Order: sequence, then C-alpha cells, then structure tokens
Amino acid sequence: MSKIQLSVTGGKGGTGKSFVATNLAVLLAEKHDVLLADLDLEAPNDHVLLGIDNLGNKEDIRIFLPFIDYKKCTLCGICAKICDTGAIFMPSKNLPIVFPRLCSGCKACYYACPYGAIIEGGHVIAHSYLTIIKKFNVMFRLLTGILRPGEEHVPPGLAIIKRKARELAKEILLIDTGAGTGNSISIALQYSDLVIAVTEPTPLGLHDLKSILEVVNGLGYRVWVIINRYGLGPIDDHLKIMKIYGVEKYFKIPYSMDAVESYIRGIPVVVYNRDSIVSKSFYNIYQVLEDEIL
Amino acid sequence: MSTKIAFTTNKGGLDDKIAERLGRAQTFTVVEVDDEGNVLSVEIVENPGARAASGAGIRAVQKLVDMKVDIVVGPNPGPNAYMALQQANIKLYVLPGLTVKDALDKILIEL
Amino acid sequence: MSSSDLIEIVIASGKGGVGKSTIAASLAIILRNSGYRVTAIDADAEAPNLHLVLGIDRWDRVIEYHEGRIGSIRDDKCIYCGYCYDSCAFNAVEEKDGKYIINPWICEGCFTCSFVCPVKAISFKYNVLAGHIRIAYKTPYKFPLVSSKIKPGRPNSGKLVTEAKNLGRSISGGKGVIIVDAAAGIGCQVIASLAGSHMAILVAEPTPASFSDLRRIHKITKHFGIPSALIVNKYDLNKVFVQEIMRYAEKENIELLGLLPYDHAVPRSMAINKPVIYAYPNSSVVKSIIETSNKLLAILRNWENWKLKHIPEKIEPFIPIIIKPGS
Repeated sequence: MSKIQLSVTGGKGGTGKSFVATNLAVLLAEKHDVLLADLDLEAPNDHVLLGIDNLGNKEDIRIFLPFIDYKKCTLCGICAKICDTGAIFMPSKNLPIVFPRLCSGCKACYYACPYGAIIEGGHVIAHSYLTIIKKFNVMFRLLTGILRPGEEHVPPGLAIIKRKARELAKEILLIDTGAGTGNSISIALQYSDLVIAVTEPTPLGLHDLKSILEVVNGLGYRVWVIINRYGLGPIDDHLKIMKIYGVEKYFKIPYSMDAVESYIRGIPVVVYNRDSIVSKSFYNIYQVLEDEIL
Repeated sequence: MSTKIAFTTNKGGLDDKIAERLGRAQTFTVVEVDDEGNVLSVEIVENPGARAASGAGIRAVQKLVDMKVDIVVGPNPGPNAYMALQQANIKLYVLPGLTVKDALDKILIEL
Repeated sequence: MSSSDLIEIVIASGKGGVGKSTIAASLAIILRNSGYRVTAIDADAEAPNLHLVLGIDRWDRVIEYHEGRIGSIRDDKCIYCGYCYDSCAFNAVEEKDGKYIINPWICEGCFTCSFVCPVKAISFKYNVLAGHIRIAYKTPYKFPLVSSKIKPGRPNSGKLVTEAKNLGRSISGGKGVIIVDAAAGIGCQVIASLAGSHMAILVAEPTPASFSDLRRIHKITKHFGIPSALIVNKYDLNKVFVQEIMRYAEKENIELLGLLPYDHAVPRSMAINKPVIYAYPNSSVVKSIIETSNKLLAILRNWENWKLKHIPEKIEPFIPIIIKPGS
C-alpha cells in the first residue's frame, strides 16, 4: 500500500477542522487503514469529539537540553550569545545556566562551543498518545500530541511527533493541524498530498482563509476548501480568493444544529445522524476523495 | 568604591516611573553612586529583553550582568528573571510605582 | 479605579473560535461609552480578527516588523552528506530529487545546520519580514486599535505581540483601560499576550473540548498571578455542562462574569461588518453582554478590593521534566 497524507487545516480557530477531520476519519476507516494525527499540540480536541476518555500508549517527546561540562567550560560565553531563544544565561565569573523551558532543543550551542563543553541531556516538552479506536463500527488509530503546560515552543515537539506520524501511518495519514498560520502549521502540513482548508462564510473566515492559502501555496501543495456552516453569510469573496490561490475544488457543509449536537455528545455526526444534511455533505466529500485521490 | 544601581524604566531618566514589567521594560536607568550617596553618573541603556522574541527576562538580567550592576530596582520579576538574578548575585528591590528619584532616595537610606 | 490609573484586561481562551474577539470588541465599546479611555490591542497575531469584528477596513499606520533569519543551501557547494537533514530540530531540511533544500516556511534560523555542514554550504538571510503592526488611531468607536499580524509561515514570537502591546501602552498615555484580545493556545505568543496584564477574562463554550482548554489556559494565568473572571459563551447549547464549568470556576476563585446565549445575531452582524451591540441591540445576546459589562464596570469601580479577593493563592510553578546526561 502506498501512503498518502491528507491534511485538514484552516487558520482560524473554531471553523471546524477537528469536526471535519474526525468525521472524515470515520468514513475513510471503513475501507482503509487510517492514522488520524491530532497535531494541535496546544489544544488537541479530536479525542473529545470522538468521545474518547482514555488515550492510549503515552510516550515522552524529548528534545535536546544542554548541560555544561564544568571541567571543559572556559566561561567564554559563546553558548549564551548564539542561543536563539535566550535559554542560556552567563552570570559573571560563573558557569552558564540553562533555562529548560526556554530551550528549543536546536543544539546550536552544542555545535558552537569551541571546547566541547556542552553535554547532551534531554527535556520532555510534550507527550504523544497512540489510541486504537474501535468504535462506530470501524477501527482506526489516533495519534494525539499534547504540549506540557508552561512549555513555550511548539515547533521542536511538533517536528518529532510529525515524524512519528509519518512512520506509523500504513496507508492514509489524516492530519488535523490545529489553528494557526505560523511555522508550526507548515511543519504539520509538510509533505501533504492534499490539503483541505476549512473556512466559514464570515469576514473572519475569509480573512484567515487568505492567510492559510498563502501558506499552502508557498509550500506548493494541492488544496481543496470546505466551507463549513454554509448559509450563515455570503461566499462571493471566498470564491474569488479560492480562484486566486488555485483551489481545485470546494465543498459546502450546511449550518445545522446537528453538528453542534454531535460535538457536545462526542459522537461524529456521520454516526449520530446518518441522514443529516451535514452527514450527506461528508459522504459526498468522502466519495470524491475515493474517486480522485485514493 | 561605587555602587551601580539599575532602575527598570520605560522612557528612562530620574523622573520616570519604575516600569510595570522587568523583562520587557524598554530601558534601564543605571545610576552610579559613591560611598557617600553622591550620584556619579546616570545612564539610560536599552533593555535587550524588550526586543527579544523569547527569554526576555533572562536577556534583561544578562545585560545587567554585562554592565556589572550591583542592585536592580523593579516590579516583581517573572520566574526566569528571578532565578537569573539569584544566580547573578544581583540584589533586587521591589518598589513598583515610584519615580526613579524617589526609589533612589529610599535605597540610599538603606545603604 | 482612579482616572490616573491604567488597567490592562486580557481576553483569553485556550481554544480559538469561542468568541474572544466579539466579546473584546463589545466590552471595549461599552467601556468607552461609559467614560473610560480605551485602547484596544489585537494580540492574536496568527489570526487577528478584532478589526473585522469592529468593521475597520483601513489603517492609519502600518509598521513592518523584521525578525529572524532563514537559511539556504548553496547547491554548488553541497556534497549531499545529509548532516543538515539529520540535525535540524524542526524538519526544515527537505530532500528533493537528490538535492537538499531548506524550507523557508519552517526554518527558524537557529544556525545549527550551518555548524554541522562540513563544507560551509549554508548561508542566512537576515532581518526577514516577519509581520506587521497596524494602527487605526481613530476608529468609529472613539478608541484606537493596534493590531498585530505575523506573516504566514513565520515562527510565532512573543516579541511581535510585545511590540504591539508596548505601542498600545504608549498610545494609551498610561491612562484608562487597555483591552487585549489574546492569541489562542498556551505557547509563547499567549504568554506574551498575558504578561503584564492586571486581569484576565477567560472565555469558554460549554463543550468538553472547550472546558479542557479552559483549564489549560487557567493554569497559565495562575502561573502569572493574574486574577481571572469567566464568560461562558453560547451557554444555552448545554446548560448541564455549564454547571460543571461554573463549579470549576467557583472552586478556583474565578469570578463568573456572564453567560451569553447562542444567537444568530452574532454571525449576522459579522457578515455586515458591524459590532453586534449596534447591529442587533435588542437581541438576547446583546442584553447578556450589557449585563456582563455592568458587572465588569462594578469590578473596575471597586478594583483594589476585587483584585485582592481574586489574585491566585498559590502561583503554580511549571516544573520541566529534565533528563540528565547519561541516563
């Protein structure tokens, strides 16, 4: 089986990325091996939308942390100067001090030290959980990443979890990137075969759609758009933007209280109410995915 | 023998107020006094912490260390700056809301 | 609160899309109409929305913000050893058709790859355009708005948010109320949004996802010793779950500021670029917003007492998990 990466993203929070990702995961899992990766490390929600109380298989996500070898350190201070995040502090006439929560694990200090006085240690900044989901008459795996509160840098932990997701996926890797338009989103989107950007028919949705399409275009990936909560407002400007950014296809998911209901219950709407117009929209998207991508 | 005292400020100068935050304050107003409490010099220096993407508190204290400051006067520092100040053996006076001039008077009484 | 005071209120939530910008805009307008000098700051640099909710479509001043470096590999010098690919902590190095390239949408400019490169094939572009700070000095609501926006694809930074806040503070003249619409999440951009604020208004929806995000953001405000209040938005979607959230708030000494009902008036007002309190003044959500702001006004009049009552008791330190070398 050749692997394929589908990434659900959207820029703005609350447009319905996790809603889309979880419903598509359930539909795809009927016929395919699916790994759903929730890469929203600051506020992962996919497990909540799937009604999962206990996440499985916890692993530490560990990045490099410098330790100073006092026998070799000459107090030259190069490590503190090269540190990008201000995690190394040079008190006068004393060994440098490392502030772990500020360290992004980039290892520049390790390579920059002319005396080899930096030793490699570790720092756990996040956890990953691999949960086997046997629910809703399907089976698939959920990889969830959670940043430890107080940690300031998402990218280094995210880079590790993303690599894990790509290794663990057997057929379909379905990624929920979470909200944002910064380089964390680029790390989550990297190597996508198809990006699905979720927006809403409001000026806020339009504004953030522009930002996320700028990223996707810059990365050079194929993109479709889902207009969620369709009906709340006009989409003329959205259509113009999609044309400018080369969006291949777009789909509409109508606004409906069904979606809100299923969100609160922790059951995907395609399971909770198969006849809902929202579910029918998802079936349609799934069918097009089957025909054209998979 | 002189003592270097850094006041956490924004605009800077003896008439300015102690800033609300240490790590991200715009400037330090560094006052050097002799043993009799006479002011030898007043210098306004930029705080690199204000321009830092992250680790502002640490970069601020690093600047104080590089300038060989003995005492810093500020608001309550964040946890990173606090730890750095301890490691650097720089004495901290927490005197929020006062002008630099008034804070200086208070400290000179203590010294 | 006296007229010579400045108070900074941050509107925050762990999750995006719960209504921070709508609430921030409404409170700013009402406080201004109640006689306070107001300065609004949009610190949600990845998805700034406050100007849209306020219907502002032009800026008086746009400041470019430069920060960081982006690396690139010189193909003529590269010996394809792959050390850069192995050493990048951010996966920024990609292999394409046997060549190595640095993805500029990911690179943080930390220099590590240039240290490991045996042939010095990596160079850096400095002072990269990383975002903008936009200012509207005179909005139709008689307060200024400072809005931060990162350039999509650049790393998040506390610095851009801090610069926007510093500008906002200087525009405020050190007086009145500063309303900060914070970034969503819990990373360094949120911490920069919160740092230095006197009060946090946390916004949540009555869903399990939003509740778990509320607990996460509250951990951060506790860490910074910021007294907090709570607004539950769209509360009528699950009145039972609201009870659970209210119990949490009571236990944690978070003042319940308001319960706002779900109302179509909100998205409808956004579609016409008008704040909901003006577009649909008789709607149920606006009535609740007004009740909520009355509570906030009462807090401001009695600020010192409220602050003392609600400052978090114990400042929870975050203890990093460290692994010593050799273990």
